[in-house]
Amino acid sequence: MDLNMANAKDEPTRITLEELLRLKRAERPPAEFWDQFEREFQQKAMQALVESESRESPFWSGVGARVLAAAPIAALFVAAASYLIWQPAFLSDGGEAATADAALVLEMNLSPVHPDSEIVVPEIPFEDVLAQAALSQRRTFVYDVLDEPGADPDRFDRVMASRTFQPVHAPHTIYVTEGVALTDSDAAATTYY
Amino acid sequence: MAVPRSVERVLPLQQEESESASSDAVLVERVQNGDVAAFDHLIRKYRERLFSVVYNLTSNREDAADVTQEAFIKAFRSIGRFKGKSSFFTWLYRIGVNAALSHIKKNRLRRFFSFENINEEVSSTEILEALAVKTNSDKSALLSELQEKLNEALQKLSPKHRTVVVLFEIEGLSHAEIGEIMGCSEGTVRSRLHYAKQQLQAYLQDYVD
Repeated sequence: MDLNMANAKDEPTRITLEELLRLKRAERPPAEFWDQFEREFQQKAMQALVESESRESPFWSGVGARVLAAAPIAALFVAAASYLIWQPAFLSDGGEAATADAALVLEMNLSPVHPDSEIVVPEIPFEDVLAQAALSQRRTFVYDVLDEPGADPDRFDRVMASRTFQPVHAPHTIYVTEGVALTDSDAAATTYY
Repeated sequence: MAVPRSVERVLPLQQEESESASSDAVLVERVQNGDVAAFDHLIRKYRERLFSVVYNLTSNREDAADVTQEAFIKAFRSIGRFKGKSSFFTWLYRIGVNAALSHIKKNRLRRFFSFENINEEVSSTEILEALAVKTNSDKSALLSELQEKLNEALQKLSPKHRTVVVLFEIEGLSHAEIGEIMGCSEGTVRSRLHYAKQQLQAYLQDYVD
C-alpha cells in the first residue's frame, strides 16, 4: 500500500483535455465590468423600447395604413407625370420636334398676351414637311446574288447592285434570287437562258 | 494519477436546479404579466453564465458583452411567446447561442481576440503547477500562454463544434440540454463533441497527455 502511494507520488501528473478546458471557467470579468454592463444594457433596453413604441404607436400605424392605401394612386400619378415630362424620349425622332413644339407652346402660354389678342402660329411650308418626311424614310438596299463569270458554277458570290455590271445573255449566265440553296431542281427553276 | 477536480461545476445541484427552475417560472410569469422589474432578477441571475458562453464562443469580451445584452433584449421582447415547455435558462441560452453564432458569421473576416484575466483563486493550482513542471516554465507566464493557446484551439473549431465543447466542457450542461439549445439530437451532440475533442487534442498536444 505504502509502496503504491510512493509510486503514485513519483509519477508525473497527467493532464487531460477536459481539465485543461475547465481552466476556461476561471476566466471571469472583474466586478466593475458588471456595473458598466448594466449601464449599457439599460441604455440599449431604453432605445429598443422607444423604437418599438414608435413603430407600434397608433399614430404611425394609422399613417402607415393611409400611405399603403394611397400607394397605387401615387404610383399612377408618378407614372403619368414622368410620361408627360419624358414623353419626347419615347418618340422615334428622339423627340426633337416634340420638344421644339412643346417649347413653343410653353413660350406662347407663358408670354403675357392679352386675352383678346390673336395667337399667331408660325406656318411650316409644305415642301419642308415633305423634305423632312423623305429624310426620315428608311433607306433600303437590295442585294442580288449573281455568279461571277468564270467562277465555279456551284458557288455563288454576293455582288452589290451598285457595282457596274454588264449582263450577258449567254447560256452559262445564271441569275438566281437571293438566298436560294443550290440544288438541281432549284437551279432549274431559277435559271434563265 | 489524475488531477483532482478542484474547479467546481458551474451548474447547481439537481435540487437547486429544480428550485431555480420553479423560481424562474414565477419570475417569467410576473414579466409576462407586465412586471418589468422581475426581468431584472432574471438578468442578474443569468448574465454571468450567458456572458461566459458567448465570451467562450467569440473570444472577445467587448463583443461578448454586446451580444449578451442583445440576447437579453431579444428574450425580453419575446418572453410573451415563452410557453414554459423548456426551462427558462435553456430558452435563454438558445437565444444567446444563436445571437453569438450569427455574430460570428457576420464578423468571420474580422478576428480580434480580447481575453478576460484568469482568476487564479478560482483556477486549479494543481493543473497549473503540473503544467509548469511539464513545460518547465514559470507559472504566471504559463497561464497567459495557456489562455492564448486554449482560445486559439477553440477558434480553430467550427462554430457548431465550438458551441458543443463550450456548453459541455466549460458550462457543464448535459447532452440533452445542449441538444435542446442547439436544436439537434443527443446523438449529434455526442458525435460533434467527440470530433471536436479529437481536434483539440491535436491542437493542444504539447499540454495534454
